[in-house]
Amino acid sequence: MKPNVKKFKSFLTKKNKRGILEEDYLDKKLKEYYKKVDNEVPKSFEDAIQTAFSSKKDKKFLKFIAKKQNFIDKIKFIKEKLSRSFLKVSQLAVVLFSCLCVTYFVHATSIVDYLVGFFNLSDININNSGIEQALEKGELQNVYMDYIRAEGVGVKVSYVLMNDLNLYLVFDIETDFSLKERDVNNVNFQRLVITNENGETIYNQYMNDNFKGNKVIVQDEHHMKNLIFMISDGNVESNILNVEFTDVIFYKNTTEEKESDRLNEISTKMNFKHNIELQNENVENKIYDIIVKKEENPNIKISNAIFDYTGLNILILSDNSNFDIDVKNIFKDFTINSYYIGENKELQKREFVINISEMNEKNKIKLKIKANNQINEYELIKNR
Amino acid sequence: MEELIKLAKNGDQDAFTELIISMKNELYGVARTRLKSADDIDDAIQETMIIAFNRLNTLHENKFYKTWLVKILINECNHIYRKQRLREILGFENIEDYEDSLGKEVIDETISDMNFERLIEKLSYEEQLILKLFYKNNYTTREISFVLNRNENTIKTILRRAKEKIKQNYAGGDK
Repeated sequence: MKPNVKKFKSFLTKKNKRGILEEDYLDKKLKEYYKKVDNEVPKSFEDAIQTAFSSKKDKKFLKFIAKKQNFIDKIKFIKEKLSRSFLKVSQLAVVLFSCLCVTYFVHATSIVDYLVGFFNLSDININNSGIEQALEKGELQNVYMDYIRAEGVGVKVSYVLMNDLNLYLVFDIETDFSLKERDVNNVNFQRLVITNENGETIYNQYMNDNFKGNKVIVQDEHHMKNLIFMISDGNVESNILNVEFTDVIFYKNTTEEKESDRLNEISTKMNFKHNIELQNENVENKIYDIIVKKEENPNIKISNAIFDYTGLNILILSDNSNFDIDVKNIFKDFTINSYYIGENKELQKREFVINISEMNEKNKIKLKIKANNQINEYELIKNR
Repeated sequence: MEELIKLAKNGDQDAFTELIISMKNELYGVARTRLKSADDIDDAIQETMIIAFNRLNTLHENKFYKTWLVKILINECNHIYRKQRLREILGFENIEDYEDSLGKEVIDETISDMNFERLIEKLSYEEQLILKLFYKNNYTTREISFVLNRNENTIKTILRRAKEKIKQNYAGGDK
């Protein structure tokens, strides 16, 4: 088995391209279909609206129900308002404390350390320790652009970092309204789509599973940063990223979703479109040849292995997700993350990426994969 | 719209009716996803209007009036639908061919459009409703999650699965 970079990339993108073509077609078809339906409202429906308040229905009865409901709602609202005003004091204290912490952090440490802290996603349960190396090596790219503004909200991209598997985008957000007063601690871009210069979709909010998370820092009353992190599906050869979304929604992130919080959401229509030119010269990958030493379970295979600044990334094809990878004898201080990246329809298998975070590049790696009490053994040898 | 809502909040029924007329297509489409009989659809909108009018003071942010009204309408449609089903099950009423009473418009559809409609009709009520709110009414998934009282990620998953089902049914020979 002799892997090469191009094969690996086309293996991922070909499948995606095909999948995306189908999705794009279906999306278009659905839009066309819904354009045609329910455009004509029957006369009886319009009449029903016009006569709603004077119809022969038992209005008194309906009003009684409505009034009863109204009374219950009012009581609920008053109760909620009381509890919210009590909570607001403690929330404000938390926001102020967070702001103080951020300010202290920036002044007390170098900017790289600050970025490492910001890009560290352990607080949202994602271990991405390799990002530290990438930042120290200067692989994070600054994006220079003006805010795109709508309805008192400005958004711009400030940083991008992209390699074979990861895509990080940092957005700066500026608001006319006060984030503190409106009790905002999170933001969401709706209908977010990222394509490259060839129109290939790298990320589409409603079609891909590759969004891994976001992290928001409220910097001051009118500024916040939103870091979004996703699996980029091997489009490293892209030179331009086209980032688009249609709405910005500010909201309060709570552990429990409450209707009252939803009503306080601030929604802004914004046709955000921006092309980011990527500087790919810094991205370096080391490819490993894969030698199969023992194969008790033919349903699981390593198809590729790449070493980059996030560590060792091993692409695994398997029938199911229940497998263990044994690298304890090779790496000493490491963490393993497993990402499910989709179905491989040609081979009828599921694809996973195992990321081993240790930064020590090895010439030869022996590893075992255990699945269903069967063991497969592999030797990975550095190709270049 | 803001002015109409303010007037309605002050008890102006005509202003409220005008507001409903301005979104009649959207409301009709939502009601039709659940109810097949024209009479039921008319009942649903009337009851929605009376309930909404009486509860207008609970709408704190006027700009959310659309999702708020759609939410009330969906609840009313579900209420009528459940009553209807119960009557059918208990045998109080014969099951009618509601399609006829709808007086379906004769649209010059292409064969592929008819097939596509069939594929969508195979989906569950919830899937059809979410697709309609997303593609027809241009709601964001967050707005849909508010209307249906569901987590946003659940909405995204349902949306994706619905599309997956359409694809599978299409590939499975429902052409």
